[in-house]
Amino acid sequence: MSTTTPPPAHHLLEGTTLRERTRDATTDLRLRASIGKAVVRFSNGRVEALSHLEDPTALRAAARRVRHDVLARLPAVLDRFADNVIANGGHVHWARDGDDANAYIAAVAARIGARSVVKGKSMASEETALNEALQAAGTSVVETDLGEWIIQLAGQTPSHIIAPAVHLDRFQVRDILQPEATDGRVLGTEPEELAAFAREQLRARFLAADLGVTGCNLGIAETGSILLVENEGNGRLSTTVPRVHVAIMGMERLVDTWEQADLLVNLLARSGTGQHLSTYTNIITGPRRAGEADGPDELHVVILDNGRSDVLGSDLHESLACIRCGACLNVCPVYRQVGGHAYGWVYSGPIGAVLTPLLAGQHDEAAELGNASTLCGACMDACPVMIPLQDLLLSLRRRKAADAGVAERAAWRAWSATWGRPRTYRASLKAATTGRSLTGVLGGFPGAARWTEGRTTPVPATRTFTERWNHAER
Amino acid sequence: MTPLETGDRAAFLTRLRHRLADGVPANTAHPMGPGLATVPVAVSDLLAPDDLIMSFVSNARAARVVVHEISGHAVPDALIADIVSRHRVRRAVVTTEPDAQAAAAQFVAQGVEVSALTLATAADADLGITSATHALATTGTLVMSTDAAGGRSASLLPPVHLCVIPASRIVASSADVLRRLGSPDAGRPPSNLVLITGPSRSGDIEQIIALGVHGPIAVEVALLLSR
Repeated sequence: MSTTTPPPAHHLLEGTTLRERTRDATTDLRLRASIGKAVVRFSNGRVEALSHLEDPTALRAAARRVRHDVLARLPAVLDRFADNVIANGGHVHWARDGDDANAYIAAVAARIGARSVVKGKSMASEETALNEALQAAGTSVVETDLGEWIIQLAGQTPSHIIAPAVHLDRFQVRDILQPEATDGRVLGTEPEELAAFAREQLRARFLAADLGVTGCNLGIAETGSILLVENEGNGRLSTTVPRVHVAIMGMERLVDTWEQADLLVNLLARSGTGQHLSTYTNIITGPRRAGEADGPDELHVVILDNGRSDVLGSDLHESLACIRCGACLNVCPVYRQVGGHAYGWVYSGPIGAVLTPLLAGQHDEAAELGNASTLCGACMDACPVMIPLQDLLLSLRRRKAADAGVAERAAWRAWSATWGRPRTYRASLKAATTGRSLTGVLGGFPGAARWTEGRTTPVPATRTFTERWNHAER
Repeated sequence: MTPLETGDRAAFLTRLRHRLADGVPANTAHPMGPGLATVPVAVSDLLAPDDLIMSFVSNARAARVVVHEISGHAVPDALIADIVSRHRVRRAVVTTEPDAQAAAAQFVAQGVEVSALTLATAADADLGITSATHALATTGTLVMSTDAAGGRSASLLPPVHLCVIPASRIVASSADVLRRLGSPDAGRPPSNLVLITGPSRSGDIEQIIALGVHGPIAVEVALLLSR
C-alpha cells in the first residue's frame, strides 16, 4: 500500500501566486509538450464525434435547458432523489461541507472495520481531500483510476478533469511506478506494459478492499439511481467488489428524468474524449439484491453542498450546470499553455477558474483566477451544456473589482483624475517616456501596486504620439 | 442494515429554497433557449435505421469488439474451440442467462471448467460468459442487467468476456434503453445496469490506448443472426 501522503488539496492555493505557478508551467517544456498533445487529441475527438450527430448545436441548447430546469427546481428534485435512493435500500447523507462528507465516510469505514479503501475517480473527493481524512483515521486509500493512481503515488493533484496525469510523459510515469514493483523487476516505458502492471497491482487491492468510494456523474431522481461513466472498469470494480460502496455526489449533479439523463450521457463522452459512449456507463439502483452473485451489501450516497448553495441563484449560478467533461480545458488558449496545476486547486481550465473561487474558500489568490482567461469564448462554444463561461469569468472580475480595497479604488480615482484632463494626461505620458515604464507611472499612484504587480506593459516610446504628430512625422 | 438518512435534509433543502426564492438571474449576453416540450434524442449518422444489425456490427468493431456473425441458432463448436485456444481458457464463469448457459455447456464439453458466478470464481476465471438484454446499434454497445444475469462481475473480472446475443435484441440507441427506465410500467431498474462499449481501456499515459487496464482486455460477441 502506498505510504505517500498527498499534499492537502484544499490548501494548495496558499503559498504560491497565480503568476508564480504560471511562470513555472510555461517554462516547463516537457509539461507543455504533454499538455499540448493531449488537448489537441481531445478537442479533435470532440469535433469528430459531434460531427456525426444530427444538429449537435440544438442538442447542446436542449442540454443547457435541461440543466437550467433541474437547477431551478433543485430542492424538489433532490428531495425526490433522496426518497428514491432510500426506497431502493440505499443510505443518504446530507453533507454541508467537505469535512462533513469526509467525517461521514470515515465513520462508515470505522463501523465496518475497513482497513483498506479503493477509490474510483472522483473530483468531489479531490475537492474535500477525502484521502487525507481517511488516512488520518488510519485507513489506507488507493486510487484505482490509472491516472489518479499515478498522481497519488507522485503526491500530486489532477491536472485535467478527465485525464489527471496528462502532464506526465511515459518516462515520468515509469519512474513513479517503479518503486511499486517490489519484486525487483524493472519496468519499461510502453504505456501498455505500464497499464498491465497497474492491473496486476490494483486487482489485488480491489480483492482485499472493504470499502469502495466513487464519484457520481449523474443522479437520476425518478428512480433514485446513480450513473457513473468511465473507460477503465475501476469504477465498476469499486462498485462491485467491496462489501460497501459510498458514492459522493455534488448536489447539482442531478437530473429529474431518464430522458434528461440520456441526452446528457450522449453529449458527455463525445465532448470529453470524443467517444460516442464511454466504455462503461454504469447505472446503480440500490445495493445488491437477494439472490444476486455479487455487488455491495450497502450503498451510501453522500450529497455534498460545500459552497455550492452560495452559487445557486447568484450571477454565477450557471456554473452549476457543468457535467465535468473537460471540453472547455481542451480548447482554452490559457489552459493549453499552462496545464491544470497553474490553476492551483483541483478544478482547472475555464470551469476551474470559475469554480475554484466559489468552492475553495474566499481568498485573494482564488479570485485572481478570473484573470486567467482571454475571454475568447472558445469554452462556451465547446461546452456540451453551453455554459457562458466567458460571462461568468467577467462576473468574477466584477466581484473582485467590487471587493477591491479602499487604497486600490483611491488609486483608480487618482488615475481617472489625471488621465481625464489633457494637460495632466500629457504630463504623465511625458513622465513615462522620459525613462519610466507605464506600470511605473501607474504604480506611482498610491495603492495601485496590487494592480500593477500582476501585469507587464511595454516600455513606452521615447517620444509620445502627440509629440511626433506635432513634429510632422506624418 | 436498514436504510438510514443522516445529516439535516430539511435545513439543506431550506437553504437551497431560500437561495432560489428570487429566481435565477437571466443571462442577457447569451440568453437561455425556450423551454422543452420533449427532450430531444441524439441521432447519429453512424446508425443505418433500416439495418440495425449491420450498424451494430460495424460500430462494435470500431470500438474494438470482436464480433462473430452466426447464421445458425447456436454458437458453433468450432468457434468455442477457437476461443478456448486463442485465449488459453481453462476456467470460465457463466451468468444465469439461458444463452450464456447454452454456450457454457459447449465449453464444458471442450474441457473447460465452468463455474456459476461468484466474486471468487470470477476473479479466478479466464473467461466470463454472458448474454445481454439489448445491444445498441449506434454505438456497438452491450447492455447487461443484473435482473437477467444474476450478477455483475462476469463481464468485468475475467480478462476475456464473451457475450452471446440474438440479433433481435439490437435496438437503435441508448434512448431505447435508458428512456424506458423511467416509464411507469418499467418497474424498478435492476440493481446494476451497465452499457459496455468495447474492452476496458485507458489513455492515461500519453493518450495511447492501453486495453484491459482493469476490466476485460478482449470482448467478443457471438451474434445469433437467425434469432
